Amino acid sequence: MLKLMGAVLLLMSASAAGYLAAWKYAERPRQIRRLRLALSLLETDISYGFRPLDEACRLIARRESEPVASLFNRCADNLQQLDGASTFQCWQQAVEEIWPQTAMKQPEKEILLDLGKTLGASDRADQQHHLMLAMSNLRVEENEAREEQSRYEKMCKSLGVLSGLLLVILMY
Amino acid sequence: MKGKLFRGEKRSFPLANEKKSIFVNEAYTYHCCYKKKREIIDPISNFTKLSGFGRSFCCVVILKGDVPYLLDKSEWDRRWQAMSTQVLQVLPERIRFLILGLPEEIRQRLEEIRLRMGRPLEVITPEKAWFVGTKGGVVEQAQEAYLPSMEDCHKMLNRISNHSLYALEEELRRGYVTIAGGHRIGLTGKVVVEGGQVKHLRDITGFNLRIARQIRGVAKPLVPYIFQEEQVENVLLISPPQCGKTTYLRDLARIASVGITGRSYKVGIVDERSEIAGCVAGVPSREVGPRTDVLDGCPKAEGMMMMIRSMSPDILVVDEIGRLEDSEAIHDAIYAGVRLFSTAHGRTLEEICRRPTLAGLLREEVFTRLVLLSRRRGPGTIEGVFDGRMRRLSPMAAGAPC
Repeated sequence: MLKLMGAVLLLMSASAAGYLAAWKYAERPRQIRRLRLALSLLETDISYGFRPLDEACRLIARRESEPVASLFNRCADNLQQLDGASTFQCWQQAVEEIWPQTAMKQPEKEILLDLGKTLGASDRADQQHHLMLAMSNLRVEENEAREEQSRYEKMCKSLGVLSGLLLVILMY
Repeated sequence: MKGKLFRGEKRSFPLANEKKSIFVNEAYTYHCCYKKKREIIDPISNFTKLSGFGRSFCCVVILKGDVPYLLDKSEWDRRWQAMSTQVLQVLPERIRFLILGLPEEIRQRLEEIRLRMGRPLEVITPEKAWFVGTKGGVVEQAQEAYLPSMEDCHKMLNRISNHSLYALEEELRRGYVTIAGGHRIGLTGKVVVEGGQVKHLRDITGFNLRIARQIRGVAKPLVPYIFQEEQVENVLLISPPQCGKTTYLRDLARIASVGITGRSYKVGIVDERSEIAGCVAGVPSREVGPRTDVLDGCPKAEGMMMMIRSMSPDILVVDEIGRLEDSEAIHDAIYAGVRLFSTAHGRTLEEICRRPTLAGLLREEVFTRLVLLSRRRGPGTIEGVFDGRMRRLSPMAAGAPC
């Protein structure tokens, strides 16, 4: 009896792990897309609205969903509260803090950090240019993430269940 | 409450009914241990936040001579309010503390704060220019003065622009920024020229923070010359920079708008450089009167016509006229029956007459009252009031009002 319960538990946890890994693969392209949308909002705010960066970030945070919202909220907080720290520091700190909560990976992070180095520090045309660049880079990552999703999502799920089964069989 | 504090020291202070231990990190920042949570606190930006928690915070360590001392909340509040918040907000932390630590009589009378990278930090009062020492207080010798670093300049620029240089394109082209409260910050650095036109300012390393002061009632002595029963004169205030033209102009607008001898006027201010009304998001932050409309950041000539068409003012107020297109707009305004209060740069009436645009206006006697200001007895000394034909109406040099 005890053995059976243990086996069920093992099977369940193994499939849960598999599903979690699959969720990450499914979530990543979605989050990148949201991020891209947020950047295009930022671009509008900068090039047409002349809105200062902190206000723009706050607005985006209000319009977007998690985790992108908390990234921009965090950044707005930093911009307003860190005493005259450079824009990049504020941005970097926000990115580092939010990153563990997202399903996104290193390449996207690097794109964002690169963008942070120029954010706010030049005229509108240049800002627009850099934002465009970041967006197109993100698009490439998004496509890659989609490909990975189609390749690995199902596999992760079945791998989880099957490895659970394997362990159960081995133990029995 | 005062107490000696030394760097690296950790001790408890009885403050606002509770004990807090404070770890002195630097003269201008400190660690606060509250509920065993250690955080660095910037007293200025976090002040309201912390007091909002229901704990009146605080002490602020200010370096004075060699001995840092503590200010409790009430003293801090007093100093904070005595100076303009908007001015303090744009200063980098380090410099902000140096400025707040200045002796009262200098702090209260600051006219300019000048930052130049790698050169002494300078403060200017009506009487004298001083350097600010590395250890707080003022010094005469440049060697002992605090030298703003590259980092200070970056921080200052970040604070001025809200981390958004792109929103300041126009301002950078003109070389100055007006911040909330009508204070003006002049900028110098490397100018980027494109096609013979100034396009941008880069590597900004020089800041001149001009603190605008509103002195209510400063223009009272002028009232009898300008408001006469049913009639209001067209006024031109003349002085070199920094003699209080804008202060007078603002007060005249306020007086006309509030009303004098039972009659008040609709006043329209065309505030090209946001200096008169100090608008923040379209709302005047200085007192300009209840019946005053402000067109913020609008070119004068165009603004005057817009104002006349849209707001039908009795009196138009514009700062610093002198360009050709201005005179056209002034003609239009005057012939539309609108009264005009304005200012122009110049030391004497003769100097004004040499400027072609103004000379034309004066010859036509557009302005019926000319007021000459100087700094002879402090800023805002009225040197004389003249009529349209430049005949003196006032006795020689009245006393300085401020």
